[in-house]
Amino acid sequence: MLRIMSRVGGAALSAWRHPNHVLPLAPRAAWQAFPPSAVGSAMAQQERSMASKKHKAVLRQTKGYRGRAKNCFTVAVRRLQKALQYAYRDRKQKKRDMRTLWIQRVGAASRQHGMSYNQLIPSLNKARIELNRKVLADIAATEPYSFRAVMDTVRSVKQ
Amino acid sequence: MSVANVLLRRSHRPMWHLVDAKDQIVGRLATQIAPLLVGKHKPTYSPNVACGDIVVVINAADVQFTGKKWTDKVYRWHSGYPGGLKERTPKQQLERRPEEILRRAVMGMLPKNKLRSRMILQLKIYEGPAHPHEGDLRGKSNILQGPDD
Repeated sequence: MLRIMSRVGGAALSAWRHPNHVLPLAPRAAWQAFPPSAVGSAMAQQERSMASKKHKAVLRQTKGYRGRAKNCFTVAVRRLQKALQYAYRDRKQKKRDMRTLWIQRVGAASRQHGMSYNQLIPSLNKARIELNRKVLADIAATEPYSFRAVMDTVRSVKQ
Repeated sequence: MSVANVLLRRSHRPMWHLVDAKDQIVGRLATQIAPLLVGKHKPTYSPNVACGDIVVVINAADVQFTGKKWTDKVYRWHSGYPGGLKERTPKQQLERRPEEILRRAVMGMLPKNKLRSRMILQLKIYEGPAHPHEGDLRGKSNILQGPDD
């Protein structure tokens, strides 16, 4: 059975050990020496720790992520790492993917004019047309008459 | 500079193609139909956008298999219930719903992505020579002769 603890922390233990010895409670007057204004209000100004700044910086980048990855730092930081890895890898892959798309488009356009892609390319070289696949694809999609002109040139050189 | 997506979803107007499947071999025909549905025959092709055309197939019941496939080829699928493995031969399928033979073949030749379900809807198969799309076909001939310019 515990006695009432003294407000002075260290004396609590002795109060328990010496039940007959009643310790005086610290008088209310003693707190007069520490008025609130001197201590500084604990609630008025929250101290921002450096950790929450870092967390916020990560979470700002994980908007739109699924589940806890958009809200919880420990999950988010892992997903963000992965996202950055993918971004690095895909900057390189993007160049490859675009070329693949251009080739598909040029092939389609070329076939519309009766020639396959693999016949077109050596014919372009033979005709010394140095337009690259990107430009050819663009022309084929947006300037069909120009593309036809290219095809005609290529066919005439083939003879 | 060119934009990778020349075609926007809203500005796509699909072309209509008519195919007579009479006496055509299933797989070989499907091989020609699938790229049309995907849009790979167009210089404006974009993989992220449904840019394919619409294909109307008639006489789908008169389609052919080589060899003994009519009896030996087996379509298998599972219903999900225990003991629910089901089997059917093309011959049986012909009796139930002949259009499905060609549809299955084409479905397997489309890219397995989110656009596939949309693409297969552009394929309209009819078992006989009649079809309700007279207004939409403007004299597009059989694609087996090769697309026009």
